[in-house]
Amino acid sequence: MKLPRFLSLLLLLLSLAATIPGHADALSRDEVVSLVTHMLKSWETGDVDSFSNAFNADAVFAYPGGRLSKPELTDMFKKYQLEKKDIKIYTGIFVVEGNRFSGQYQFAATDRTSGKRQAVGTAVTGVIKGGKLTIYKEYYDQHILNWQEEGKIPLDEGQVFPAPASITLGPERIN
Amino acid sequence: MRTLAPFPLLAISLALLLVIAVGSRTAAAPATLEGEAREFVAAHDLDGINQFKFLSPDIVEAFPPGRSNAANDERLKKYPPASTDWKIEDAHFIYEGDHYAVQWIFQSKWKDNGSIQREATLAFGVVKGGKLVSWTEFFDDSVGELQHDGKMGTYTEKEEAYPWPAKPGMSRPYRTYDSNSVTWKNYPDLSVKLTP
Repeated sequence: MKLPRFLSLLLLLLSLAATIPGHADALSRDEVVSLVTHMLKSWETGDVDSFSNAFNADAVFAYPGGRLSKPELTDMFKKYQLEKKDIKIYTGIFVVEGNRFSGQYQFAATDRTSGKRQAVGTAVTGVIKGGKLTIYKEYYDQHILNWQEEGKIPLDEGQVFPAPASITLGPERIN
Repeated sequence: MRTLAPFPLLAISLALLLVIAVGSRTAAAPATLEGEAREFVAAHDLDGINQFKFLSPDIVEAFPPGRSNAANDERLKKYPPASTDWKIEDAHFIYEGDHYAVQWIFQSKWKDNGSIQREATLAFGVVKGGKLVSWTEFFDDSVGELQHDGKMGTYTEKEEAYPWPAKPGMSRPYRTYDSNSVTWKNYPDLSVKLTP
């Protein structure tokens, strides 16, 4: 009768191991930063699979202009690659706590039709579930890319700030 | 006392399984994040506006309209803002050592027409010696302008902070020039440079 007793104990131990909370979802800080950075860098290569694989099937991608499901996001990525070229991503600081993160980066791209370039400081924040992005929000100011393409303000590419680095805060937009 | 002695190999395997399971969780999980930033926010009950009372003299700041520092902040005091009744709602913080990030919804009332603007913001702070030494905010400043002009809906009272409201009544393509949704031409004065 020892074997059944042993099998019971085996099942019990396996169950205990399997129910350790957070085991499947927990990523280290480096893994979180790597996940987000790898996804962002896929904008440069145009690798839609690399980009898409960073998101869960039910992920929400939000930006100043709307919210996209994963299929919509994948379609947007492909379309954007056809409209822009020379995309560059410059990453800045990240703050990571558990499965939540926030970070800064600059997104630069040139419009294939107009030849105008933008370099826009961006903040991201999100939640990771099962090792992938499940909520992802981007914050940037549409004024910046509009005014860069109009030639009104500089690019200051490669310096990660909300506005181009050489612009000083003035009274014009304090509201 | 009953033991697993009759099955030593299996017993050792089980022990290893448990060690691996617990060990991998310990290695992969983020470390406990305690530090000056968390204490700073808690001590001052920060909400996204009152952190400006605790700036280091060496503060470096950055906003969508441009960068600033203590000298520039002083220069700007003579210019009254275009809105009043500023308040912050639904602030959510995360911390890592001396750094923190916070997301909130900012609300104010435009002085010229009395309309309400509600904008979501994601900001980053760095704390040293009990003072804020770096402060950076990201938001789409066109949101408040579009709400001022009655072209965009606002966040509802209980709505979670997202870059745009859930029901803005309009849309905009991703990172694409769009003159229809940026109509204000309050360009920055590029001749003004930061001085220490």
